[in-house]
Amino acid sequence: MKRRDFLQTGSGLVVSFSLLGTSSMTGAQGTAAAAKSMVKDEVDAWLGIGADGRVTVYSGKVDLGTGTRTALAQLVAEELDVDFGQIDMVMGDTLLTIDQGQTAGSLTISNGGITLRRAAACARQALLASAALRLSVAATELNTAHGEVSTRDGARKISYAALVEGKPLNIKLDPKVALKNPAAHTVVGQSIPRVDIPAKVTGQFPYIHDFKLPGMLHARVVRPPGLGATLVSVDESSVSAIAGGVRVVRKQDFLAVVCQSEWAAVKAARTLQAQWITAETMPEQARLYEYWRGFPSSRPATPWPRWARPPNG
Amino acid sequence: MEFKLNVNGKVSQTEADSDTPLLYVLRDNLGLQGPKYGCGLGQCGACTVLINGEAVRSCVTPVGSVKSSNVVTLEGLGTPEQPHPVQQAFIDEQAVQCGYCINGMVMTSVVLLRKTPRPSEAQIRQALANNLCRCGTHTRIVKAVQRAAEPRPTALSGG
Repeated sequence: MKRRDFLQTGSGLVVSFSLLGTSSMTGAQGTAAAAKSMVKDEVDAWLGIGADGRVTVYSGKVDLGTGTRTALAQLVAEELDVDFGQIDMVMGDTLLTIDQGQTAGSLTISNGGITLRRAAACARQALLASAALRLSVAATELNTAHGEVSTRDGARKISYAALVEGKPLNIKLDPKVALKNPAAHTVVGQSIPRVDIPAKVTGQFPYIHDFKLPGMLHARVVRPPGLGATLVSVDESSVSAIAGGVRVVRKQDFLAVVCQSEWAAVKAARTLQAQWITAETMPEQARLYEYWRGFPSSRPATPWPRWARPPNG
Repeated sequence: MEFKLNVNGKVSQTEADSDTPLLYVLRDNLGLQGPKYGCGLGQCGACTVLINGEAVRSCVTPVGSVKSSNVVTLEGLGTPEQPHPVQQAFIDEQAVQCGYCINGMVMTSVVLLRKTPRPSEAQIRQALANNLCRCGTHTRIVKAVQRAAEPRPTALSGG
């Protein structure tokens, strides 16, 4: 799969690059990434306008099925005045996107989204200023819509693509840039169908489990019988009958098998004979509350509220 | 062992131990990614494929038992450009969150609608009761199946 195809399928898989890191597949992107800003107070870190007019948006957040790939694109389309369909999202690509922390806590839109809105608003202002120069008209006399700047009367217009000419915008991200009045929103607030769903219902959407690398092997961890168990010995001959090049990997008390095929790894992990000494690390069930109350965190300065008190506590 | 499998309308030749679950062969050997590994125990439905028209859990179906059966995966139903009516109904109802279970939901619904073209809501819920969705998309999934069950112009004109 080519990188671009991968992006266009609407995937938000975070680890693609760390997995593909040294493979030849990253060659072209490596060059692109070197050219792309990774400085978070530069607009170019967050979006780029291509020579074809398409807008590439870079978000450090990922879409795990909550629709943020669609929603973030809406935010940018709104502030930049481009059509929703003109936006390509790059999400969670560690080589191309700013680290925006974890994707959790409903923060992708509220935190990740505001940055993109500001970046788009800054870009739009810069495009207005650039068009004002080109058209010899005051920026206040110009409108933006559908990826174009036009004079109020619509007589003269110039596309974003023509203004940018495929180059970086080279402008700072102003955190105080004026954003559109929500009353004027035409894209935000619309229920746009999620861009990832057609690929998901037809088996085309790549999940992390779908990655295949040249020469990839399959491993399974062999779990100990209890927490903190010590591995005493491993009988490697117990899996010698399993075809598929079983290799036993042992690092202190960690045990795993590596095989040519996934099924061989599953079978080997189930079959492998290992001797463990289990540690008595778990608290006695009958005295569980007492055990918990022994922790410092269970001795707050203020008394427990009634609803949080353990039974008979 | 070498197997000749009839998958999505074409014969594919592949090498596997005969006890290998069909799911691994489809995913790892044939490069199909519609069927998903969920529980590996036939309990969640993420791995569902059609074998001779029946919804089967491919994670507990040894490849050696498949023989010349007709296997259809999610990819075999339709594409993003030309989705199967059930796939289209799932798109129309936006009945997907993370989408990991959706393979099983779609495949099971296809069989339900073939056998029961106009199912009641209770019948839909019953048919999908053993397909687990952790995102909680269930109500939209039920609506999608209901939508797919509605008479369509093509179905009417096609008699």
